[in-house]
Order: sequence, then C-alpha cells, then structure tokens
Amino acid sequence: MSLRGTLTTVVEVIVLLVVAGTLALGANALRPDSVRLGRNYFEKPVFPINPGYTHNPGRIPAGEGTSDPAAGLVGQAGEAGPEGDGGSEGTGSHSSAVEQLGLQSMTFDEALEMYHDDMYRTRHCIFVDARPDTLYREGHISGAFQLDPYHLEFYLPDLVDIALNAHRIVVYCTGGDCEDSLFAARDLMEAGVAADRIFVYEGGFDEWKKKGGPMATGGQ
Amino acid sequence: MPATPSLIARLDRTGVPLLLARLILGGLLIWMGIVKVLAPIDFLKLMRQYQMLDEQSAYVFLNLVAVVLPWVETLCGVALVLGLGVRGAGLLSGGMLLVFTPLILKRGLELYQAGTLAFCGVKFDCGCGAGEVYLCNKLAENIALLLLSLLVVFSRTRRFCLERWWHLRPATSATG
Repeated sequence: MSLRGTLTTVVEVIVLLVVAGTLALGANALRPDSVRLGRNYFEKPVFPINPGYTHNPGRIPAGEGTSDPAAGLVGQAGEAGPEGDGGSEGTGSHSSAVEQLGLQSMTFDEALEMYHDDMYRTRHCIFVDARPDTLYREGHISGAFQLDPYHLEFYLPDLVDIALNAHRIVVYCTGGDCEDSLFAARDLMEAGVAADRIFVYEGGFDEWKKKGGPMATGGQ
Repeated sequence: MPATPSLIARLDRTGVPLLLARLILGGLLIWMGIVKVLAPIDFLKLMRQYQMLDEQSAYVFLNLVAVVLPWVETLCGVALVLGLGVRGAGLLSGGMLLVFTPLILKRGLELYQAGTLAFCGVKFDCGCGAGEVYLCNKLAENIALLLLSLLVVFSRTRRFCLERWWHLRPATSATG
C-alpha cells in the first residue's frame, strides 16, 4: 500500500469515527431513554447491615417481628425455607450477593402468601419489578410497580411515596443471575427506604410464571 | 515480457469478490449495529459480562463505548454497502472483530468451565446484536467476517464503489 493510500485510509478511519461519535452523542442527548455518561449503573449497593440480622431467607431480623405488621406474614412463610417446595431458584452466587449486601431474600411461597394477604391490596406490601419496560409489558406479577434501575427518572418519582409507606417491598427481576433487583434495591435505599423493609425475590419472574403465580400484562 | 497476473489478482480485478464482501459485511454490521443503537442500555449490560475494565472506576468510558460503538458499527456498514471510505470501514470492522472475538472466546470458556455443556454447546448473548448464539457458531462467523474485512482492506480494485465515481480512489491500484 502506498503512502498516499495509507494516509487516505487513516483519514477515512478518522472521519468515520468522528461522524459516528457525533451522531452517537447527538442521538443519545435527544432520546428520552439515554445512557447517562456520568452515571455508574453498576455501582454496588452498600447497605448498613442490620446488627440483628443473620442470613435466613424470609425471616424477620431479630427484634423487629413484633413491631411490624407484615412480620408475621413473612416469618410464617419462612418456615418452609429455601430448600422446601417453594424454595427460590436463585443461584448460589446471587444468594451470596444478596447476603453480602445485608438484604433478605424471599421464596416463591412467601411471595405468593404476601400477594394474597390483605396488606398487598392496601399497598402496605408491594412488589417492584426491576426488569426493562418491554419485559414488564409482556408479563409481570399482578399489581407490581415498575422500577427499571437504568431509567429511574421514569419510575422513581411515582413510586417513592408508596415505597416509603410500605412495610415490605419485594424487588424482583428475571431470576437466575440477574442483578437488576439488587440495583433497584440500591435505588430505593438511596430514596430513603429502610433496608430492612426491602426483600429480594431471587426466583424472579421466571419462577413466578413457571409456578403459576398471578400475572398481568401491559403497562403499569 | 510482463508477468501474468495470478488468478486471485484477476478475480479481484473483476470487483465481484469485493462487492460480495462489502454487501455481506456491511449488511451484517448495519443489522447488528442498529439493534444496539436502539437499546444502548441492554448493550451496556451485555458488555459488562466481559469485565474488560474495572466498572467501578471506568464506568464513564464503558458508558461512552456503549453509546458510540453501535454507531461506529452501523456507519461502517453503511460505508461498506455504499462503497465510500471502504478501506477505512474495513479496517475499523476488522479492528472491532480483533478486539471482541478473543473476549467472546474468553467469556465462552468461562461459561464452559462453569457448566457441564460441551464447548460448542455453550450458548449465550454475546452482545453482538443477534441475541443468544452458540459459541462455536459465533467464533466461526467472526473469523469469516474478519477474512471479509481483510479482503476489503487489501483488495486493489474499487469497482462498484461510489468512491470510485467521486475520484477518491482509482478503480484499480497497482500498489493497493
């Protein structure tokens, strides 16, 4: 390749990169669901670990069960434990992450019991769906609120008051190794929700659907 | 007596191999690029699985890559299909393939070692724009695309390229 040919190629590469960069940043600035360049979307949540809390999925931290009207509900369901029929399908690594973050996990049976409790109808217990909007519209736990942690500005303002007044907030995403429920939990914490009111349903929507939990489709 | 051009050189001069390479490579780049342009957050989440950089300190760079890379890909595809800046677009697409193919192999090996599947049975969303793919198929596809990129870069003809009409490059070049 001649020197002129090489120079022309270098110029072509530079032009392509500059045009692509300009179009990309321009389009990103205009779109409502833009990527915020300065935001760390994957910042690990740092929760103050409740001193009375030992990892025992579904059970209430020591000393809190009597004061919280939702405590009996979850504590009772927790007797089944993660190894029972209603055990969560969360993976070991995900459970470990939930534990390390000082959060409490919830099994399918516990989540279903909460769903059928009167407190769910009065919004004292709520489900929060941390999956993208398209998946939420395809199907979600009936009555669940949306909180896509990558587009907080769309969902958090409407949710924050409800979450602050709720006794139990159960966040879920797809299930398996998905971490979006953890990021949504982080965002709820940053909005002022107490960590001991936040539970992670590790089985996620995949398990809920598979086990026949009540579902709804469409937008919130 | 002048040397007779080799069969490959004569084939190259017809412009047909370059045209096919441009259309296949360009078409795929446009398709895979647009999928990512439409869902940059999904692409960002998928890029994260490769653990290229420390996400806690280099998140601005990762966000920037998630925004810009799909557009680079799409624009390279458009340039190839139209035949404008063909060598530069080929070089860029080859460069992207050279960076991402080893990363896909590394991620595939991690999944292979963590599971019980055969190497070619490993299936995951590599963030390439085509959803979940089998590891071996994806590696074979990338190698083929890399070869097409090389063909585009080293072809000495510019037949059927718009840049030829704009006199950016001669139709054929003895020196490349």
